[in-house]
Parts: sequence; structure tokens; C-alpha cells
Amino acid sequence: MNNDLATRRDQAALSQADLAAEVDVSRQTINAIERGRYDPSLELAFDLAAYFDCAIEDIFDPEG
Amino acid sequence: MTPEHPIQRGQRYNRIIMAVFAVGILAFFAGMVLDRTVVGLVIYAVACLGGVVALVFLQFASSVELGDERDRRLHNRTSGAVIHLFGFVGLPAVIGLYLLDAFTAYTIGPTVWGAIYAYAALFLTWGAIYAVYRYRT
Repeated sequence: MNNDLATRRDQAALSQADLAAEVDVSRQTINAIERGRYDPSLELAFDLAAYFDCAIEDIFDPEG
Repeated sequence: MTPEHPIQRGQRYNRIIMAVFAVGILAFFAGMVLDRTVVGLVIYAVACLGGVVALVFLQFASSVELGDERDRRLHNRTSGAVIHLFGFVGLPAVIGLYLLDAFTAYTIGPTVWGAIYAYAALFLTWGAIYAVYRYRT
């Protein structure tokens, strides 16, 4: 599943560790999501969307 | 200094406990190689039992989380893969042993019987825990 998490994180001037701490996961998990190697749970997807104040489908593209 | 996030603390504790297990296992084999079996065994027992106690404490009696959702998913996938491996490879092997024994081509010895019982116990345990999860959720 494609996502633009890295772009959004860069725009917010956050490190992977900063974002990880905001949504209570490890930095490795954020890295894995950005690289498309891990699809987050619905709960984490909601947390990320809430953090960036957008909808889940704005970050994640299920067609990717 | 940036305060340590609970996830990072859990990861650190997890790494320490895994290192303790590794030391115990290395001591066990080093003891055998160096002909200090009892010393190695004592270090192994202390390290591994200490590791288990620490894991149980952190898991059930503390607020520390040893991993996040990705770690849990990795654990689940690994456990599933191991069960599949044991099922797909082990079951034909056990059936083969039964057939060989039945046709007197091979006699199953006590050690192999022990392995078969352990194999059966693994799947019985899996089934029991699966049933608990299946009907409680």
C-alpha cells in the first residue's frame, strides 16, 4: 500500500522518531510504513490521520 | 536530554533480556566445550530463568510495552509460519514413522516416541489456545 507519510513528515519538519513518539510506535515502524514494508493497523492509521489532520485515504492509497 | 519514550524503553528492556538469554545459551555450550558442564548449566539456568521472570513481570505487572503493533504482528506471523512448517513437514514424517513401525520396517524408539508426544502436545496446546481465542472473541 502506497503512502505519502514521508512527505507529510518532512513538511512538518519531524524526524521518524518524533512522529513515532507522537503515535506511540517505534521509529522502525514509521520507517517500515514509509518504505511500504508494513501496513499499519486501522488504529495506527487513524492516529496518523488525526495527527496530520486529514483522512486516512489522504495518506494511504490502497491501490498502490 | 530528550526523555525516553515508553516504546524506546520497552525496546531497550527487550534487547537487554534477549542479551541475557544469549549469554545463558552461550555459557551452556561453552561449558560443554570447556568441560565445565555444571558451571555452564548454572549460568544458563540463572540467565534464562531470570529472563523469563523479567519478561513475565514486564508483560503482566508493569506498564512497559516490549514492542509495538509491528513487533506483535511479526511475532504472530513467525508463530504461524512455525506452526505451518511443523504441520506440513512434521505430520508426514510422523505418519511415515507410524507406517514404517506398523510394517515392521522400523521400530520407533523411546526418544522418537518422546518427540512424537512433544509434537502432539504442541498442536494440542495450539488447538486449545485457538479455541479459547475463537470463542472468547
